[in-house]
Amino acid sequence: MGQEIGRGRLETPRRRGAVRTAEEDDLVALVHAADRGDQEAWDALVARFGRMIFSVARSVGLSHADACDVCQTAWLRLTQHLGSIDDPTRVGAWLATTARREAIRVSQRLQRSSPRDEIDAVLPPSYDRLDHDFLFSDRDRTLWQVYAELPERARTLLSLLMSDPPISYKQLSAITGMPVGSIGPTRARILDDLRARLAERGVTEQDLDEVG
Amino acid sequence: MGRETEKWESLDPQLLRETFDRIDPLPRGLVEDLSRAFELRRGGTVLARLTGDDADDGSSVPDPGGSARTAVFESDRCSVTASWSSGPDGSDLLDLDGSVERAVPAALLIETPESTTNGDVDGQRIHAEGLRHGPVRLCLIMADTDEPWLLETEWITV
Repeated sequence: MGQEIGRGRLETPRRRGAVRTAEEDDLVALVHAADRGDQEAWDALVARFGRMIFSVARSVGLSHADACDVCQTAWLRLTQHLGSIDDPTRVGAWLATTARREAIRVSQRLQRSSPRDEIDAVLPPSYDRLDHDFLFSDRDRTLWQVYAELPERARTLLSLLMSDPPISYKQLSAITGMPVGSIGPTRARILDDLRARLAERGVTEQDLDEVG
Repeated sequence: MGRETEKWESLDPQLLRETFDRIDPLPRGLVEDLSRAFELRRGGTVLARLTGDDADDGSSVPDPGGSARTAVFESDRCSVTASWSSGPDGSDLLDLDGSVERAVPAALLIETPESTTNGDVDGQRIHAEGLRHGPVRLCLIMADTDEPWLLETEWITV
């Protein structure tokens, strides 16, 4: 149950027969270095996963301010668990799980009378970017609107697809609560749905490739 | 499946990140805050993990007029129950009441990324007032053995 902080154990068990990729090796090295107190390694982890974790918190429907609190909590909790994560290649999934749980707790506080299943119905990701709003192109506004229309789990899954290295289907299942077998088809369906919704509004994948 | 669909299904994580950076940029200062979070590491303390939180079922939460939100933290050496509730003046600030089992606290600190506040200890009861919403952890100096020892809870968002 409890553990002594600062005397962590870092193990890197691998699935039988699995070969670790160069990205995973790099990630393991970063986690080990951060556990030894290396600030640069920590900053590299923040650079790698900060965007994804913020989006996971937002996907539950939190405002920028609440999502920032949840992100901070998830990362602060990582500082307490750096030495005890069984498989450092899963640190992205660990952060995402922690952030999503915290985000749901905060959503419960904000929408205490609403059952969880209805959270996304009553609390879509807020569009609280007033100071940036004038910089938004019509295409970006459409992208955000289409994203906000997706069901909460679809938004979360989309956020998790930002992970590099990718999060395994098993881990995606643990984070979202979806059965492993449904992750692939659901993912494909979400992307098809996203493409169709964007196409209806005149945004093509070509437009996305022209990000600038 | 046409080629276009295949492209979508192999959506590049980098492209996704760049798209979200545009449509929902990270708030100013967040990355710096996350970087500074590393400075709040503390070695040689006992960690009490969050094992129960009634916010999980939405039954009680610290909103104005609402009831307390109770979280339970457990370690091998003790357990801490902490309840946050809105202050009596209806402000956005929170009061904390709680108790420690299997250990005797001598001092309580309420830590946020920005500040540390002293709380009150009375036997195994703990109390503090005027706390803000956001990330928080409790740090307790225990005096139930010859050598005082430090316990900290997992961070939670209140």
